[in-house]
Amino acid sequence: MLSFLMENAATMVVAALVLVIAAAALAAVLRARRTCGACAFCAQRKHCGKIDENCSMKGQR
Amino acid sequence: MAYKIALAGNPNSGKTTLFNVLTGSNQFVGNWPGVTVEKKEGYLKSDHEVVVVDLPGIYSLSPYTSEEVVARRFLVGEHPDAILNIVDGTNLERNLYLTTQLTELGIPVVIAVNMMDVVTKNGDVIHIHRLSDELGCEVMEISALKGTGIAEAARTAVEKAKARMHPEPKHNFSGSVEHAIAHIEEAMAGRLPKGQERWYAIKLFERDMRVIEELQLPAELIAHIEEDIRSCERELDDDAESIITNERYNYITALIRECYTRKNAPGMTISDKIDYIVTNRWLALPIFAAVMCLTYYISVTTVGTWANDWAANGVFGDGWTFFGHFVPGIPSVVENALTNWGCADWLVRLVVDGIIGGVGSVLGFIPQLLVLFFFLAFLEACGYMSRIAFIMDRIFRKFGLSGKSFIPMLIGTGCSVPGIMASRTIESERDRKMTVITTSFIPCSAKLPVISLFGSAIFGGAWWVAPSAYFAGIVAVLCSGILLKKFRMFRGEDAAFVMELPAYHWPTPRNLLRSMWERSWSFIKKAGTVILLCSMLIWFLSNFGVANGRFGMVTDMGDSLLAAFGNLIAWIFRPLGFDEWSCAVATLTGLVAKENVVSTFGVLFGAGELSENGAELWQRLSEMFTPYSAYAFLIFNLLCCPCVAAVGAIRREMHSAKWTLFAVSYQTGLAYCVALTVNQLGALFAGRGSWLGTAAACLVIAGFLYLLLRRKKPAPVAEEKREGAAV
Repeated sequence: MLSFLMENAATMVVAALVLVIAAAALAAVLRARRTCGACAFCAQRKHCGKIDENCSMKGQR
Repeated sequence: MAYKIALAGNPNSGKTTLFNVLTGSNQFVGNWPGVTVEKKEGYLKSDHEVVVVDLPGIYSLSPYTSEEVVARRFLVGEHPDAILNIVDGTNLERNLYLTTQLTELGIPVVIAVNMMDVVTKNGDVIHIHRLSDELGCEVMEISALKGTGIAEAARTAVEKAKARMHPEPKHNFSGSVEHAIAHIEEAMAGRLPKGQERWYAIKLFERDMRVIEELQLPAELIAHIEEDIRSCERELDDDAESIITNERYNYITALIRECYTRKNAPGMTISDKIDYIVTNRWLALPIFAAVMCLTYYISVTTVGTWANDWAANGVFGDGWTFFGHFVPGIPSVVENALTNWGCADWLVRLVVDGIIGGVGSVLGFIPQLLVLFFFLAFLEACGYMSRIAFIMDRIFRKFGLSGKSFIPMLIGTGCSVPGIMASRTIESERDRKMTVITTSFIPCSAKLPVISLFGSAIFGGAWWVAPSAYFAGIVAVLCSGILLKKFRMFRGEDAAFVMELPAYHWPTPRNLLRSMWERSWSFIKKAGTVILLCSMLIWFLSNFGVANGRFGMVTDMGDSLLAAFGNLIAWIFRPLGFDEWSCAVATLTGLVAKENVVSTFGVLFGAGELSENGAELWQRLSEMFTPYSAYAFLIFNLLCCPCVAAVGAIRREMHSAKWTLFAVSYQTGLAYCVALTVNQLGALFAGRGSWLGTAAACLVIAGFLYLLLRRKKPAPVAEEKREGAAV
């Protein structure tokens, strides 16, 4: 079924690279969604660090 | 063990600027009051044992607004180890009111007199040592903007925090008030937190309801305290709260006389002279309109277009010429490389059309956004934005909203999420809800690529498209003000709006560039995450489907899964003039992030293979739209339900799924009605109107006029009181 991925080595390498990029983007989206509400106030800016107990970004300054 | 230092002070006194310098953070700074609505924490750069807490700006510790509640709850409840009280040196008298309250909290206070550079420039003198002696705490001179005196002030605050001393306030009230306060302290012996006895006693004297509720005092004790208060009120012939306020101001007046030498008698400052023109009754609005038109004109039409052409058609297009050398565009470089490596054709198309086409079509607008962000940052930092709120108050009031509602909308020009959250500064629950519902009508930066794309593709780069989108947002807010106030749940008197107009100042280039970069970086990050994922998904759905009874890659996009889904919902948009499945899909993907509208068109129309000047995408769009259906599409996407992040913010601020659903339904319903009217009337004037469409548009206009002109019923008195108490 996945034979189209196995067409040749270059296809496999580039496809794997695309998958890695997509996974990284998805991880970033999911991680951003776990930040606390107060952080959305500065959503377009650098995270300020510790805001509240539920924030996944807590302490990551 | 960590020490906590709270930054407290009046709105717009420079707390967040100081916080950023002390902690190395990049919190948003604006030259208008009410930028900070939540407390924020960061570690002191020079000492990681010390946590600095940036509190919202407050005028007093009387909890009238939600920011004051946040600040007071922290100062009284969490008892920081020291308070760094930021005082605006150019407005010493008003700022010291809060200082007199802070010194009563039993927490060491260090006063940082900010904006000393302006005080010195004016030729005025603040006798710091005399002020320090009178207030009984350390007073330091600083300039947060220029970075002078900050390290010393922070060091002093850390020393005080580590010393853990309970200072005694030097300020005494008049005899009979002190007598009553002493009686209250005596009656409350053992019931109050150590070191805060005097603050609680004063609050009980003022009959502060929150303190009375918090302490849960027995009825007989309250009656006993009440006797002392009444006796003092009789003697001074005033109510307790006013007595305390008057005494504080008398004390501050005496302090100012002792400690402040003004060079010149107060007259018209440069800020006053500018305000004389820009807030003039007749000139204010035309000036505001001109400033915003100019901002959007330069950002989108002139400098922006030049930069956008280079980015969209050069970097993400066929290529550009650099000092006579041709530099190929990213799509052609990647396509050639992948083809030469022997990658499968579908993968080449995924990378070039899907990823680069989708993400590149959004990133191509970065230069325009940089220019827009630069102008918005300038307007924010110089102080003109707060004047706009003042100007808009007069208009908003006529439409049932207060000028305070305009602050979230100003913030919303960058991103609706912080804009929606900034509605917390509004005391009235009804006004706050209305503001939350209407804030996303103002075009955020994510909508700018949509405006710009349609402005270029359909309207030939006409200058009026971008400003008209901005003003359409304002008109939608104003009309919503009237409409919603007609409903029982929003009915009531307008909230009062008191706002201090800060002095104008030249923003520092560093702050301007930082603000511009941070907003742009967030846009780039979004392109690299949400937009990238959506572009890949759109590419997959638009290239795979069922053809000849088999699922697989399709050669005709009309057979794709995306087309099948788009065709299912396309009929909904037929009255609005865009019933192509690609438009329906673009509108729907815009709900994830508004930039997706552009990236979806980019993927579907193979932006990676665009010809020079983006003509292919523009050509396809101009074939699909008439000018009025294009404007209807634009209006619908600007006013309808915002992106998921903004809906999440609405949910958080409304604290109710029901209210969130109402907000989203109202926004989408209004967008649909306006877009329908634009398209149908446009078609009518172009001689292509249908009787059914025209009748529907007339019905919408009639309904709108009825709601607009219907007499407002007065709000029930009981409901008003309940609302007021809840705030």
